[in-house]
Amino acid sequence: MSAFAFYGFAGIILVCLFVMVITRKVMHAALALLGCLVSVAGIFAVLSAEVIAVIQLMVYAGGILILILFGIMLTGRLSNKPLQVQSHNVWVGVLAGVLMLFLFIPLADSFPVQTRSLEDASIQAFGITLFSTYAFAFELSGLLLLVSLIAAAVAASSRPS
Amino acid sequence: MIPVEHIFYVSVSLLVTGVVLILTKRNALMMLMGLELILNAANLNMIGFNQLHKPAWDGQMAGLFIVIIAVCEAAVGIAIILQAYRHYFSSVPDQISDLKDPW
Repeated sequence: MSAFAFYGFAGIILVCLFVMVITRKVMHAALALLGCLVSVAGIFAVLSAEVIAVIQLMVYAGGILILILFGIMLTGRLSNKPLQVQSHNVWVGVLAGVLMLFLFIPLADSFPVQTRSLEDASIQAFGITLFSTYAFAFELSGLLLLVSLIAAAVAASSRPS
Repeated sequence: MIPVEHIFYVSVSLLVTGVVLILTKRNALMMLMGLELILNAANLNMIGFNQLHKPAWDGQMAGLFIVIIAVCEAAVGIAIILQAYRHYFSSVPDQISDLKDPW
């Protein structure tokens, strides 16, 4: 069952990635990105990382994608038509993609064989680890979020300083 | 049981698509989307390989912090894109060439 879900999500991801590469409308690319991110969250849930899956859904699908949609809305208002995007450097992109595929795919032969089952994951242990071993990094990431919030608010404000 | 190679293949496809988007698309928002895909690929690798090392949580913790950093990057990046659009009336990085050599 979980394997079925994994391959289903992987197929959705591949389709959405293809749409993102070939489409010319930024809006369609953003919607394909939404499908991609939701499917990655599903794969996280299959891999028994439920906390990360929920955070991915809330933060990416709820936050970053809304930000990108607002960006599309606000950067297309001068031309009064849907934001279109042309591709350039197509051959460089294809070459880099194929080259990276040839670099990375052979790495998969060297992975160790997985033997353990996944049923021992619990959200309680995750929380205890997060607030004991990783407490400092957690607080630091809170500080980083605050700084980036202030930076984004200042950088996007229209008032001349 | 999902083999870790298959997770790696999905992650590689996310990474390659992100790089191709950044290289080929002309709009800054599309490049930002490619960046999100690359961060997602890293995240997927972290969580996939964490499966090999249960009951350690390091991979999942790294995934959590990657998500947080991605949020910061997206917020600041879109703010900069908006400000550049207000200033140059364009969100195409090629057209913002004030610092380019004139010859």
